[in-house]
Amino acid sequence: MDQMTPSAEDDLDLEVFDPYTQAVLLKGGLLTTKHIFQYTEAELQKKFNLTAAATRRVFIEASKISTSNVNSGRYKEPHNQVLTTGCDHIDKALGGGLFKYGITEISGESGCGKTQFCLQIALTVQLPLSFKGAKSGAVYICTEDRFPSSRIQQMISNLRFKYQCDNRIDMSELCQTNYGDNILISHIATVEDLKKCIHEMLPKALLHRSIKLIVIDSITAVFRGEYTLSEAPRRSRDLRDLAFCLHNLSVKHGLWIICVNQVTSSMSDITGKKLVPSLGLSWANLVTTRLLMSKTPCSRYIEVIFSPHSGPTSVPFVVTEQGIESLN
Amino acid sequence: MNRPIWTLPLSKSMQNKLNKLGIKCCEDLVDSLDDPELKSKYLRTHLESESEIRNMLKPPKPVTAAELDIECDSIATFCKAIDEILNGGVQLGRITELSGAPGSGKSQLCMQLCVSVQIPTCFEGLQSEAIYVDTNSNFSEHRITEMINAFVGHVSKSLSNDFKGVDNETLKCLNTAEMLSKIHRIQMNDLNQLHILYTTLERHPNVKLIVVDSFVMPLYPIENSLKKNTLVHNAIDLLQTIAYKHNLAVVLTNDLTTVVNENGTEIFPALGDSFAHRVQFRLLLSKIPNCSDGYTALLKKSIEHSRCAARFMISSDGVRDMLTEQQ
Repeated sequence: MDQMTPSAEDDLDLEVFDPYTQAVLLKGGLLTTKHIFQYTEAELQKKFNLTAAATRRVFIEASKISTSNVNSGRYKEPHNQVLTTGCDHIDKALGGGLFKYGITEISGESGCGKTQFCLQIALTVQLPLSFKGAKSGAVYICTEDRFPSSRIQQMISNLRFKYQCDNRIDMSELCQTNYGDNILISHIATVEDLKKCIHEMLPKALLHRSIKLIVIDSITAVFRGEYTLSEAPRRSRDLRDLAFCLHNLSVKHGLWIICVNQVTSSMSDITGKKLVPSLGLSWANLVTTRLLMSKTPCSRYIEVIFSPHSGPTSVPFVVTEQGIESLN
Repeated sequence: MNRPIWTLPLSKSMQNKLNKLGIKCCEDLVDSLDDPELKSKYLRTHLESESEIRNMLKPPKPVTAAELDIECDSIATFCKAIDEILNGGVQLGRITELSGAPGSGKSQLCMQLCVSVQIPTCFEGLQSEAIYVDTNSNFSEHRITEMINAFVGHVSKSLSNDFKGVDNETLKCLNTAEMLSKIHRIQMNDLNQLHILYTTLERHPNVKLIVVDSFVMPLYPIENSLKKNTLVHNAIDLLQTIAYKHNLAVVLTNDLTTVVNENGTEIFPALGDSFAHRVQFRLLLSKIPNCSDGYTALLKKSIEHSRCAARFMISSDGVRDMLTEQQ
């Protein structure tokens, strides 16, 4: 997590306080919001000999600055902007598309199309705004397998057929983007590396490049192997830390975050085997939208399990050369 | 019996100053407030203003039960079953906790309340505004717009049935953009940031509902359980004070957590017992298995009712009563 490094953005504005409070804050070294929030109101009042009203004032000013930092781009972008999944029916089931802010989880058995879905979104995020894209790049973190580069090349070459349109200006805009260049790929195998990547690498990458999408394919792989049964509390703590940090990044920079999860068969259901997403309650509490993919011998389905933006539904789809498409 | 000075919430240096002047108890302080010479001596420090001291010295005024307005206002949801178990809806001046597994309808119910708090007075609503403190990005403008459209549609339908006594002024306010602008969303990632509510309430005095969704999310990265507890109780203190002072309803959402005990593992609302004491109403929401949009709300704590449950459904219009054939 962020250490106590004072940065200009959470500095208190001393000018707003009366001279006595100013002097106390300066003397006590209480110059950033983080320093203030180390104390409770009562502690601060007692320790630094302030009046109740003055302490309240300090906390209110600190929280003003602190909340304005939660979301750096709040006034620049329309909030709750949607990103297309590249398939109209799935967009409709999601309430218009994938919503910015928060973590979207996609789970399912192996081979039912999770990676295909993620690859497709790594491309649609680069589409111009008129196509419900975000015209930005993506970070793709692989933990299970090598990044399927030949598949994405195939999808890129088929992209222009998918979005055939009459409008020539849009078409040229569509062809200008070099899709392969805008996906940063990182291969990670351990929890430690994943932490390092999210805490240190990502914030730097976000500063230098226009990135709006982070895909972790999958979050489960690293967390399944490394912990013994008795280490369950440590595992859920690590998971929570990671998810909280991802969520903060998402809110601060306006990102879409997609995490792939595996499934576990649940024994508690009397009716028989039932597949539930892995990683348990401590992870599920931090997920904003949960999607589940399933495969029957004849067709594949994508199901919205929960989402603040729409109700539970299920949509059939097929995987083609172009990517994921819904059946009409 | 005289009340000594040190029992007052005064700063240390102020107390020392008063002691030096020979003011040892509250009665001395009252007398000294009428003595201009003495008063100017200790007020020169500007530590506490005169009105603050006068406020501190005022004894609390008791109110008899008969004087109290027994009918306390509440925010009705759009679901009769939930209103019934909560005695009319989410009550003003009190804290209501909604807990449940992810996908059990907590955020949906919160968003629905943000719409129902705006029901105009001519329909026996509160016609007020709402603050939505969003810590887990579950606030969905898309979903709220759907709910508002459903509400506006419902109102215009009942108006066509010759509803009398509605002035045009209120009707003009019943459109999507106007209603959306009455829901103030604040994004947070730390419970200390709740202090901003003091200024937000000054700017929007007509707020009658504060939703904190979710209350636990900002606590996840904190490992020190003592610090976590202090934060929780300070936040609850703050919310309770605001709820009293402005007579508004506070709704918190809470997650579930697994607890290991002698019976194996059980699932409970997070934050433990000390938190449970601090909320006046607790609802546990859950989804009914094998039922596409059916949910239950179990009342776990209430002053007015014993343990009971209600069923509701979440349609595209919002939180509604179950259709009879489904029950």
